[in-house]
Amino acid sequence: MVLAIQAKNLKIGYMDEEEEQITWATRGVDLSVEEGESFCIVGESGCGKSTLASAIAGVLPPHALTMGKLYIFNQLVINESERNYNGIRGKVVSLIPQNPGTSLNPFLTIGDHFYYILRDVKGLSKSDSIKIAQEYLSKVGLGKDVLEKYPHKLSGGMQQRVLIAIALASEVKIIVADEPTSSIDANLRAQILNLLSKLVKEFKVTLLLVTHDLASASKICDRIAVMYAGKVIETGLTSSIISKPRHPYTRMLLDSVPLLGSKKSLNPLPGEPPSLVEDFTWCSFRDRCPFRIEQCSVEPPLIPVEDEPHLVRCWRFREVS
Amino acid sequence: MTLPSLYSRIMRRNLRRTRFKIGVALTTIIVILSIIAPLIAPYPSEGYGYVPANASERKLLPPSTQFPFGTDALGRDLFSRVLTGTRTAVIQAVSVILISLLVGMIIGVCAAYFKGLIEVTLNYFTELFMAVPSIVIALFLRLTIGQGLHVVIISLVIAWWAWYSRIAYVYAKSIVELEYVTLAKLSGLSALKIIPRHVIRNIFQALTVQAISDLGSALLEASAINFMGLGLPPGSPEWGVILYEAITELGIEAFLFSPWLVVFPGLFIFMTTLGFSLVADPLREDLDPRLRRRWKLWF
Repeated sequence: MVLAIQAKNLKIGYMDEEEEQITWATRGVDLSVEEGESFCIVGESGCGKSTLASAIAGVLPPHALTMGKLYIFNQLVINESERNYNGIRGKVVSLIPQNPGTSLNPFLTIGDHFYYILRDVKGLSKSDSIKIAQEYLSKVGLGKDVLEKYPHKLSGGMQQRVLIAIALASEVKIIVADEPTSSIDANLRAQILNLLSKLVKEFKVTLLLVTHDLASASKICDRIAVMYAGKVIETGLTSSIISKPRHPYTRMLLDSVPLLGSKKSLNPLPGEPPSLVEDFTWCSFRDRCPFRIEQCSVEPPLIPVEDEPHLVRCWRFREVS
Repeated sequence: MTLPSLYSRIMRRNLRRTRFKIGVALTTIIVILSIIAPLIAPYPSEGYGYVPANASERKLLPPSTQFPFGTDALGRDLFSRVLTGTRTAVIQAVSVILISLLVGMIIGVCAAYFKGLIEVTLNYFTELFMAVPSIVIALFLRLTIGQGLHVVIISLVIAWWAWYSRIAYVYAKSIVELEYVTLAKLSGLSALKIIPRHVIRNIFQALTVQAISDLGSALLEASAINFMGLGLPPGSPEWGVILYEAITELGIEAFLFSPWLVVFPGLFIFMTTLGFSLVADPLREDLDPRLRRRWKLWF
């Protein structure tokens, strides 16, 4: 299998205004996503998942600091502080942004959006790009009358489907979807996610879905990585993460969201994630963890769980499950 | 939104309002007059300031069938002069507004788009020019480069571009934070593509409305500069100049014994400004919902 995305000890930080301190959004992420699979990054707000997604999509702000390495289809795009997305951004990787409302220019018709993007990426003419746009819009269940419309005439769900169509239309190999359903009503969420996973399978595209919703992630993804405080703390097949979470954080995350059909009681997570300004060597979940022991003052590596492609960053993963 | 569709929408929505209709009618008349004035003026050469041969016989005649607006102190037909002045008025107002709009928009958008030092510098620059009155610049230009249409236009542009720059900056500032701009920027698309495609397209409507509502004020200020004798030379077909000549040659007596010299150019300035304002006000209310109620009682 070809690795679509491979991150090696990837650190991304943001300098504050006074240039005094750096907030590390990701503190050493190791990640490998195979070609054609649907991979999901789950985590709470501020755990660095959006930063990781924008690093992969090539839209990190210029003031972001990077360390470590990131490969996309074996091309080195982040090499320590150097970033080179030539030939990758927009051509191999495409992003489905978080807010469809602010991601479409209100003064451009949907057809113009397709035209400008296809012209820049593939050098197509107006009539060719309109043809391609029609084809992809019909894939996401929109008629060709949408091409003439301005974004404000479409509903939020339709706007998000337009963005999915735009992302697919440039025939990229990887689609990074940064919380594509966060601004969409719950009744449309499943529809959009199912559409996304169906299209990803149809076009054999690698999907990197970033979400805080473990339930929706489990529906469409082959593998899940759970992030906490800038690090991947658990990664494995969706079924094994959902049924047998090995990290206390994953387990508490699963306990805190409702599952349709079951009458379990919801338990909120106590405490807050640690500040990412200062570096620390202890396990990032130590202060909130009910399983903590002396050994937790040393951060564990990603430990493989026996006979499964399942890695967990916890000393006591056996007791947790 | 394309400009023709915007135009048809504005027309459809506003033509029902009486004052918008009056404004459109006044503006249309003025614009048509400015085009055909030399053709319909009874004494075209006098319109351009040439003193007729029999000037001594027809000085300061009151309005009559031969001279509908009377004659001035040099015996020129005032109707021809005022009519020819329409063209100057339109040229002054439109060119001042267009140049200010262009300069202000580019500087304002650049300030909002390129952050940091460029933003600070351009904003200080803008604020500096906001404090400059046009008449002082006109005075300076009058003393250095002499008289002419360019003095009026340059001095007004210097005084006015900063306001467009500020409006463009304020609107563009909120646009550049939206994702379709930030993501395009981070994807490495050049500013030359992003600014026209995303930023200017979004602020253009607001700026155009502001520009249309400023046309009247631009004309007033241009007339003021000309009235003070700083802009166009005497004899030019311009309403401010006609007033200036009346006041310089006759003093206060102009008001008492030959009021037509003051009334007709003044009336044209008033009607033109009113026309521009009546067109612009409904447009401005469309753009700014907070203004929508306040002026409803006027007509």
